[in-house]
Amino acid sequence: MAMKGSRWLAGICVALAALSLGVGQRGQQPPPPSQQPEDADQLVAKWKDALTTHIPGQHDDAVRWLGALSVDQWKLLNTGLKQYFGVLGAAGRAAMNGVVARAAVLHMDTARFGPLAPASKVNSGGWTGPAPSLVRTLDGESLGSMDANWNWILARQLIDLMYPSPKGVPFVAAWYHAAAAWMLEHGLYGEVDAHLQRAAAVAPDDPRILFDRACLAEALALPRSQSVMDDLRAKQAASNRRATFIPGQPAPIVPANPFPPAEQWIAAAERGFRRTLDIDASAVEARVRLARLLTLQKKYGEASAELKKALADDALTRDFILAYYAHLFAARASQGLGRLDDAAAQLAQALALFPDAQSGLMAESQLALLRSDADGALAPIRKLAVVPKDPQRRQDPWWLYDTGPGRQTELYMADMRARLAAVK
Amino acid sequence: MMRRPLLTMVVVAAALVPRAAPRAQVFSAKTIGVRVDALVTVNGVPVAGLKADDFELRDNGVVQTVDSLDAGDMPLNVVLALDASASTAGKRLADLRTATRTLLDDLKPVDRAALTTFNHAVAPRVPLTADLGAIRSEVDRLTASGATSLLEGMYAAVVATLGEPGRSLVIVCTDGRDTASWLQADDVIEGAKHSNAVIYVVASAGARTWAPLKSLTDVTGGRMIEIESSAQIGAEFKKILEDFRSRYVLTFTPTGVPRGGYHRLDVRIRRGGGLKVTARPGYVGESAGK
Repeated sequence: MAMKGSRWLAGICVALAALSLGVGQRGQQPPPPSQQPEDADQLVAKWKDALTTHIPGQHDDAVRWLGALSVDQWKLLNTGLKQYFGVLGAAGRAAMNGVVARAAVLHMDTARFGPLAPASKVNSGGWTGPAPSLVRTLDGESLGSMDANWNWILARQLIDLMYPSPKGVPFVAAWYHAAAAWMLEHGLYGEVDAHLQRAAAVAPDDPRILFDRACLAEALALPRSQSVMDDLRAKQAASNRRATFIPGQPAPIVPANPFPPAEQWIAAAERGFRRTLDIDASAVEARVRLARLLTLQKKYGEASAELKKALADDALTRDFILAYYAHLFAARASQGLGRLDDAAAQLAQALALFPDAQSGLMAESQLALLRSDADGALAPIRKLAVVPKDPQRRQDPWWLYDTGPGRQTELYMADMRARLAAVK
Repeated sequence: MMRRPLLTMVVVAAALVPRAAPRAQVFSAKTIGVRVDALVTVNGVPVAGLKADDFELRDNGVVQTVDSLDAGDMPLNVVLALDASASTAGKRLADLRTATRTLLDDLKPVDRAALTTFNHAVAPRVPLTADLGAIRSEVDRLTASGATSLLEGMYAAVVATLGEPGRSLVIVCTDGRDTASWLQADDVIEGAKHSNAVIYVVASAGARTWAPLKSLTDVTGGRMIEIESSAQIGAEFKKILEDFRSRYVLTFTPTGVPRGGYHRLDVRIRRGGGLKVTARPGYVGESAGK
């Protein structure tokens, strides 16, 4: 059970900070600038080569070449691609689908593996549209603004060129879902918000997209996001200026209520998970997450019923992290109902899956305290004293919770790549 | 398995037989006392020299007899819960290290201390000990990273005081609100009600405006201190220790009230014009048979 959350939690948005400094995961030296093409036609020709040679999912030479372009070269390429797709469109739009699908994957991989291509600078030509400014954060504090990545904006624009429409193309929903998972895994809430707004337009009833949107709303209700919003609110008040972008909110911000409170995000997430379940009743993670939201609203009976259904699902015998969540939330629901023995039993099952998980141990201790059992309250805390102090070596599924589908990004990427070949 | 009683209920020695015997219908025959730390101030300055008879103490509205009164010379358990999340990197953490070393220097040989740190992971590093060198070593090794499980760090510190003899002071130092805990503020408040520990929080940056911190200190009779700069941590730690040592420790045997559940406490000074008493607003009584 590999835990990617600790990597992410090493800094709540260290990924953002790193991207903003342009220190992506470049494995090899890019070609020297003198060897880079200098005009739009040359760049488009090289881009077409990259499209042909790129192996989806690989950090290969094609990705390295794109990642090494300067902002001026990105701008030239942006202009060149606009002309190229205009010509291709006139020649026969049906031939375009395979090209744009592969291009969307190439730019997805460039965004994942390469340095930031700052959208506001690249987009001066206007083809790929306006870019949101994102808020860089670190452990609940805002650190300033940063640019969205142009690669994502371009990739979505390319998907929109599909003929006759991207709607109903299995690859498209899979691509949006996989990309959203990656963004959520890396805490790129501002990026994923714009991404999922477009996804909702092309795949409005896809349960994966509904689930992703609900997960984003849920993540924005969590204290770590609300902390950023509080920080922005305070800074905005201090400077008497409006911030340019709030994760989950398109600019411009509504002055009367610029930072929606947790309750609004919770309500949005609840609606999203319910809609997901209406379309796909087997979406067990939506059910588990819905139940947590119900416990937050003290609807313990309803939460308990949802969790009972979820825990009866075979999927939980294979997905230990989801099973852990279900038991942890079921314990909370039972505790709320005053069924302390049931709560203890649920926590025991959660801790059987992840014995050192801090969330389970804390819950176990707190439950013992409610029963006036001091030894029972102390024992789990003492256990924390003997687990590794290095958070990187600790395993707690709760620390992954806000990544939503991001805990299974590779699974969704593989599914998306499998559907790519079918796009003609 | 025998359960250890929680600290809110202190077993009182035979010498401290209450003046008013507990009534059989509401209390068992066991002689159990409750201890309350109370800070008396006038214009913010601690007041010394008070006697047991100067205090009026009500438990769920019923006036109680104060069995004993100590004035700050009992050994202390000082439990430090220090934020080592990413936002503390640099000067904040350096100031915190210096302040902690100075605080440890100010403890008496009879006092003990413990250290818990937290980022998203809570690490109870040193349990209560008189070996303060062990804590100094751990403080020197602190590095900043990760998110902030402030609530769980506080909770672990409070729980560490359960069943410990002496007076317990939990000092929390943080620069942000909670961003990673599973436990919620109400869970930790409930836990604090079961403990005798008094919580002081030194809050800077984003932590200053986070409402649950005030609730958590209030429920234990402690205080939340807001600072502008981490350079103030040392001075505030010193003041907290002085503040805590100048408190009175009242012990009483609940009389005329049911034993279990949450008890509201009201502590005042008789004829105490202008005197302000800061004490926990209540405690959780053990049910019979526990």
